[in-house]
Amino acid sequence: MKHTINFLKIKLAVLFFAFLFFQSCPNGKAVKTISSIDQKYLYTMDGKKIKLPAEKDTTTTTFILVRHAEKGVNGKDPDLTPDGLQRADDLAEILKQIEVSHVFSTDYIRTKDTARPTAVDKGLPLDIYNPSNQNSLLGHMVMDPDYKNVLLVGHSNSIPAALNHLLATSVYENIDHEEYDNIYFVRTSDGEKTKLISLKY
Amino acid sequence: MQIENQMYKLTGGVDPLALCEKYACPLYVYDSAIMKRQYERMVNAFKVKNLKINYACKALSNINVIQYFNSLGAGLDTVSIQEVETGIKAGFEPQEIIYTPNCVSFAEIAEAVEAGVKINIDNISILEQFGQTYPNVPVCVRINPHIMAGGSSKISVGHIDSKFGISFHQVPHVKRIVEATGLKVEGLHMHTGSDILDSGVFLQGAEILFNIAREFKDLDYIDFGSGFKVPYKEGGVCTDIEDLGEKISTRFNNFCQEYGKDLTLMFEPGKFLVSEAGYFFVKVNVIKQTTANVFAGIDSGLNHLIRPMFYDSYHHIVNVSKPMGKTRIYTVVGYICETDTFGVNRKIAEIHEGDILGMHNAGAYCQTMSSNYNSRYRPAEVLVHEGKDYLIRKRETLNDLWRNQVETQLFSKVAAE
Repeated sequence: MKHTINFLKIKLAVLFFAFLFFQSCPNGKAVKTISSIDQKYLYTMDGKKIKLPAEKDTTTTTFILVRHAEKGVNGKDPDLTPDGLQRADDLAEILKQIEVSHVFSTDYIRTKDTARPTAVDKGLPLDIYNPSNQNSLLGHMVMDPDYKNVLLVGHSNSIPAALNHLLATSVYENIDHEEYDNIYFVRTSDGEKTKLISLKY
Repeated sequence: MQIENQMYKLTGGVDPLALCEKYACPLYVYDSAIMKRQYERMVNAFKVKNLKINYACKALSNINVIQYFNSLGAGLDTVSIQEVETGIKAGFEPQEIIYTPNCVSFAEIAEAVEAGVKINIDNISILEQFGQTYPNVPVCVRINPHIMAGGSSKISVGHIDSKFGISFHQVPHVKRIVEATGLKVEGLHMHTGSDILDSGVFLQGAEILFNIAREFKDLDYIDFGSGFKVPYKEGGVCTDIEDLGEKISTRFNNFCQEYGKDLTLMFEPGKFLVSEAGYFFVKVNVIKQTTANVFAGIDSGLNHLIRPMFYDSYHHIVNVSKPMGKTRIYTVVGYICETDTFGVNRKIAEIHEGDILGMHNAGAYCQTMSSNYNSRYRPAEVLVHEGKDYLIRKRETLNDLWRNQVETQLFSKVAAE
């Protein structure tokens, strides 16, 4: 009888820790942290590499989607905090090895400051887009072969909306207000299923 | 409006009969979910780098509706200085508003310039005055492409006999004015009419505009107007916006490459965005059987919804109180002292006096074209948003009818001495 109670306790503890683990990992999968990316692989901080879906032809577009980095609390159009500025620099560093064709940001200080280090590093203009009409822009980029690897910096509501549009789903909900470290890689190719890899940075 | 458990329901399960009980008939009700659906259809259909959908608020100018489209990311298309002022009051940045008047005074255009909105000019005389007065204010030019399109002659506005726009044959004259005054033409615009079904019309108009656009080097946008047809009858045909979007986007993107600049593709839909979102609920006052007809006489008339009489428009009519009743044939008429027929020989679930009827497609050009004819009050307006109802315009009262009348006492009956 005593053994049975102890066994039950162990079982409950295992279930409790498993619950905590899966709570922190959406979809039940551990979300890894990216260290860099090149044309073929994503490299994670724990030394793993994840193969990107193969580029099919000229119709392949890879979207790199991030919410702006940590923002301050000053007014309606706040700056990035020091942590946020550091994250923006980290983003440029992560994307160092991949050829980025376009950098898009909404017309806010926090999004532009998140995108700017990457744009400067790549020698690209910072393209401003209206998040309300982003589906039109996304549709255009999917169709136009000039858009190869596109960084799109948006907001806690517009980035999930972009994922839902690109992946033809509605499962992505607004990002938590305190969450700034998600990075999504979405690869689309004509006639192929759109693929997503979610990481942290 | 869908039937659920044998009763009509609006989005979010809102009961229209409860709204009629709460706010009384006649009543305009707008469903924001349908406005959003239509707006998103347009955004998804046109695949371009820069898209701007300017809501044509003449279709439905309640400030809450204008604010709703602002929140969705739309711009605003206006035709009067009062619409401009309403748009600014609603929270639009002036440069998000385009002002497209016709046959207004130059003084009104000057007010719009002062307000800082985009100006769309549709005749040579005004363009000349504008260029001389405001050489540093960029303008859009409204072109008449001489295309006959639209559901009827009253809503076709791009043909050769139309008063709207500057004939594309007059473009050399426009260029001379631009060169002489130093004006910057930042946009080109056309609007061919309403209820256009054929995407070929848009493509034909687009080619005309592209040809003209090559002659102006400072363009920021091209505005193709609107005129997309929405279904008025059950199973009725409508513009295939997705197909049109595909074709126009491809052509527009190619033109941008040729032009060497990412221009903004603009549209100015009104009816497409709000028509299907609106319902007009009325109460049946009397059932009148004559030798030839069964009339359902309602507590409204052409003073509230003039489209059937003015444009011969079809508005689908249903019995909201008893949707599952046996279908009978009715002619639905109003209470105004002249013929104001809403629908002839309509198959409607059996109507009893006191029943609530619902007219579909009452979002565009319905309340905004209403009047106080016969000294009747204009109805209240209610917005249904995320499952809740909000009063957005009160029903008028007798004081509203008298408010601006000046009683001179000239003819008041004087008591006999």
